[in-house]
Amino acid sequence: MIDSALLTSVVEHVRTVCKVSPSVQITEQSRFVDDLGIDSLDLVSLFLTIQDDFSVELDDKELAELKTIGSLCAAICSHRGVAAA
Amino acid sequence: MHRRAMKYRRIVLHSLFPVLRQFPADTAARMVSRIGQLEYALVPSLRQRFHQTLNRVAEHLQADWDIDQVGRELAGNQVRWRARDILLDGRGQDAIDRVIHAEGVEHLQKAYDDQRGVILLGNHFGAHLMPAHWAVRKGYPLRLFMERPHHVSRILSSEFDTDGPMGQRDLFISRKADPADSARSVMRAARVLKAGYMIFIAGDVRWTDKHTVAIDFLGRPYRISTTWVALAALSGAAVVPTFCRMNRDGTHDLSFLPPYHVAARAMTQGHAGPLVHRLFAEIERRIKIDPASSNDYFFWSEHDDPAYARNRLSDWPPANLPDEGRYAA
Repeated sequence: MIDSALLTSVVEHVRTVCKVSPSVQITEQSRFVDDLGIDSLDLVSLFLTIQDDFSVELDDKELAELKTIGSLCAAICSHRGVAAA
Repeated sequence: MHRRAMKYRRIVLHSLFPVLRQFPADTAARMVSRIGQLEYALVPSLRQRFHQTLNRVAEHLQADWDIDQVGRELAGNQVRWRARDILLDGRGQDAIDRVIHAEGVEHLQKAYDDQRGVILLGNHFGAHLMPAHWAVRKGYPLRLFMERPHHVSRILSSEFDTDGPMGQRDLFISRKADPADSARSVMRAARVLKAGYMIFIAGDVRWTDKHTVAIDFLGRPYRISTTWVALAALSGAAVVPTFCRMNRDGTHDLSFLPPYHVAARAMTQGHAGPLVHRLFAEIERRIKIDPASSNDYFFWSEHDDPAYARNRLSDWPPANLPDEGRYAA
């Protein structure tokens, strides 16, 4: 279970940066590509914005694991030293 | 040309390379051109195809070309273009300098000296891999951001297997990669640029996603990738456009244009369209002057590229694309 405030903030970032329509429901399980239809350049913008706004540095290995909203939240938590669950 | 004929020609070419490399590089390039010119002379259907296409483009550009002469030279240059930089293998720097006449090097050097990375913006006009070959020979730390080119010189391919955070191996991209993989590649390339490296990328890649820019090129509509604009915006690296003309005598005129920077918010503020249009206006201008260096631009068709055709035939524009996500053409 992800902290709800973090989840809300990440979802807001996704909606703003990737211009996901308000009519599309975004949950912890939503996949960036398959469910939300986010393309590569929007993903780049999203990851860079997340890095800046949450003061985290995502390395190559972590980026490879980021498939869902939940995995992104978990990566942020892990950098902040906060348990995601 | 028929795929099987292309395959045979490639086999013949590759078996000839060791022999051709015994000749001076410009002589070898002229000999390779002769192969294409011979095909042009011997195959009526090829000649007819060239004539039809050249007439169409000449009319569009209002160019006063000698269609048959341009066709013959273009057929020769197409084979030379497909030889990439292989004919330069095993040659010393003096030999390279004799066949590649570089101008505007001061622009490249100035951009490189700023230590913010350089996007060497290539295209498929003329000898498209020569800028990369030249840069590697001159000792610039160069990486390619494109699909891994095959059948290239040993000096270039030896660069391709470098590993590590700034290595080339992980920078090659694939048209089949999913968006998440592509995003990682772009971020990796941005890191390489921020470390002061030079990234060679083609600015004339046909693509289909919402970040593409619609252009009219040689009288036909296409959609073009803006990855290079995004990379320039993300990294703050200077963009140095480069062109490499193939001369009849087997030499090359390599030119580097003055560097420029792309605004950090270029992708969201609609700058990608004008930048892509400016690049294609320059390519078209050069084609009008030197149509024989246009390689396969005249024959661009969505049917030549299965990935492009597949995407283009799918839902375009995507139904859920908001208006503000559309970039001005």
